[in-house]
Amino acid sequence: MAVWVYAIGRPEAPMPTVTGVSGEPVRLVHRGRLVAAVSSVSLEDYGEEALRRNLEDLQWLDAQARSHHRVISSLMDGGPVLPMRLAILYDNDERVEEMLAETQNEFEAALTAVSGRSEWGVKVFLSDYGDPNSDSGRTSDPAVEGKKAGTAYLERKRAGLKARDEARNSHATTAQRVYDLARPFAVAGRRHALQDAQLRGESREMLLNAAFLVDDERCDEFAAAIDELDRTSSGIDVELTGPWPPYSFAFTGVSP
Amino acid sequence: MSMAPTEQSPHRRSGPTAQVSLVDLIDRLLGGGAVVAGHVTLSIADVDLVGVSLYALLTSIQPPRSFVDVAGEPDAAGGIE
Repeated sequence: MAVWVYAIGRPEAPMPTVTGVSGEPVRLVHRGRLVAAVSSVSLEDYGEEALRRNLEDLQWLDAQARSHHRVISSLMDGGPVLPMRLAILYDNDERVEEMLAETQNEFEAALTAVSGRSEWGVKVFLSDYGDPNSDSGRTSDPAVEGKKAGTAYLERKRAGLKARDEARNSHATTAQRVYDLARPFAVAGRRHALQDAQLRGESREMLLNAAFLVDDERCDEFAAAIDELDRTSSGIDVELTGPWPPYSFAFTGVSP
Repeated sequence: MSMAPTEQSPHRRSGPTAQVSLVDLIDRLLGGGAVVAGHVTLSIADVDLVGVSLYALLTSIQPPRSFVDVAGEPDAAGGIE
């Protein structure tokens, strides 16, 4: 057996009533002013070899991710929570206690930093209007008819590449503009890598995938600002998700 | 503006997790979350994901341009773009 850790919180955190990743009950491991929410898993399914094999399975990953998230979300009403990365395993509860003791100062600082705050996701997409320039250069142009076909082809190709570069620069500027407008409402911001369209299951091009840590008192103001950005920006969709546990703002400064 | 179906109000918690998109979760659960030293038996970092077929999709595992931009840390703020 091994112990899967979901999150670190305060002793006031409510005892989770949800089950963990493998259907086992979630319990709290106490150490000083910290608790870790954990559940037992079998090495048969969660050992290194098994984990590598199982991670090939999107359905398996989906189930683990949702379980992990469900446990963390259930802890959030009881005070600040530091979510752990997916799939962090310890031999037993004693090892978890030792980890809490040794990382106490970092956890205390990080819990204070996320206290009374939530993470919000802001994503920007190109609106799905189709590309108005996609036909340019393809139709017959009297000016190029007299040129050799090869020259005309190269000119079209160059124009196409130039248009693509310009579009890329313009998209980067748009993404930065939205980030800069949202950032003052938050205490911290982070840009995640753009999401893969295949995994996202939709065709709109993503321009920005950001997360912001926002004071709970300012979340209405923040949501209103994002809504305003969405309504007043033509050609892009600005989408808000949340509140999330502060996944993107849990410290990652110490590597295992 | 559109939000995930369970996240219609900023006052609500994320709600039934079945409605949260997996790709949003993956960004956070593999690209974020606390990672600590010591006593760990196994972490996702130990798993060689290069050979995993999902690797190409899970680009958030090692986001090349991701950074944390925290007030009062000028070098982090300067890391934009």
